[in-house]
Amino acid sequence: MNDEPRGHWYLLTGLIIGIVAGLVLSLLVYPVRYADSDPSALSEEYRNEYRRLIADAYSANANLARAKQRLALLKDSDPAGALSAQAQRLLASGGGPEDARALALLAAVLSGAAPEITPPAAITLTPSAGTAAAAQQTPGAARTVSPSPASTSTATPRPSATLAPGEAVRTPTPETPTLTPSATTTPLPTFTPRPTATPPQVAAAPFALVRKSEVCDSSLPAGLIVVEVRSRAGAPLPGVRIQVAWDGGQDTFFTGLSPEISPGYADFRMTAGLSYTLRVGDAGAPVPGLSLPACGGSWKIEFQEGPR
Amino acid sequence: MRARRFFFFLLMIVFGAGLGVAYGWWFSPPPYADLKPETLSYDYKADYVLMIAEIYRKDGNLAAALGRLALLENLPAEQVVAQALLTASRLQYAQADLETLAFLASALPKAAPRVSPTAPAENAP
Repeated sequence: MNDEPRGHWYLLTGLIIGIVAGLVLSLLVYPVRYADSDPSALSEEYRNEYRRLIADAYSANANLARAKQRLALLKDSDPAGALSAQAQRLLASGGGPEDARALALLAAVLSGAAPEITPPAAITLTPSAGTAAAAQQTPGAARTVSPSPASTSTATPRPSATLAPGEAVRTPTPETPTLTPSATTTPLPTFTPRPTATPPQVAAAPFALVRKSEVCDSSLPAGLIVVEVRSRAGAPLPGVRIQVAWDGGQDTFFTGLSPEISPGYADFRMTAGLSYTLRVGDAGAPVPGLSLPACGGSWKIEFQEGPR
Repeated sequence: MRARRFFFFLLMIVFGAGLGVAYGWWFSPPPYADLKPETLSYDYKADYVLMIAEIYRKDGNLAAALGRLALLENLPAEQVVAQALLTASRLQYAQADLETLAFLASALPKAAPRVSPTAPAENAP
């Protein structure tokens, strides 16, 4: 008889308790965890790392098609711009100049303003059973990135499903040098190490000073050292290291970080009262005595790749 | 009467919990973004390791390769590379790519310190 005045509030109480418990369970204790994601879903930090890997790998294998396909996985609206911006951020944060150079080089190649780098020397394979067996593999499951230049490309769509959970844990023990990836055992081939890839020639080529002029009109922002580097054929050269030193400091930057201007373009902002010495490449002659022009303008300095 | 009220009270708790779980898991899951490389599918992981192997093959910098592998997955490096080799074999990567992966795999056990799976290698930049 006493139940009647208490009404049905207990139902609402139970519902609220349940909702709170469910939210705690689904948001804190067992939140949704994603698996089998694709690179476009990575956080910005890891996307930057992914881009850096792509650029470094391109520097290593000179496979532009593969680099393009890998970049496409990130779904950047402007891959070349993203690479260039990352190179600039890397340099600004004091990051590795080699990584910045690789990023800038790939950005310039992608934008079509720079030629592709030379692929490394071909691999010399030691004939083995593994090589023969692999050669007889029938193409079926294509992969996301393009196969190496040596293989024949097939337009087979990438399988949507990845390895089954049971397969995922079938890792060979580290102590076993030969892996058995499938029922039909295909031993890994023995091979001679790939020769070290020849670095792009722009890295160490000497560069000759072609023109050095003060620019006092408004065609350039004031207070800059603007450097333009060209190849022997006259094409703009990205990825060329430029060192600038002054009393009490020095800095390094690269051409190609502003591909929208020119792949061979680089600039450096001067501070009033300091005199700068500039050197292009590893073997270039230094250009001393660069300071803010009396007219308050900028310096424009042009270099060209010299004879070998 | 009291038992009946208690039954419905429990029923409402279960119903509410269902609503809460449905909200957290289906209606408002965390966004599909800002993920870590360890969530990549196996084929992407294999390509990630292949990039590391391609770079290692050129520069021979094993320490850098190990650092990059640690970013990918919190597992021993040799296990990560072995898994990538498996995946690459299943997806029929080109022979040259398998060799590149094997080149990295062969370098790891000799020089790489074994990282305990329980010791997180969270040295991501």
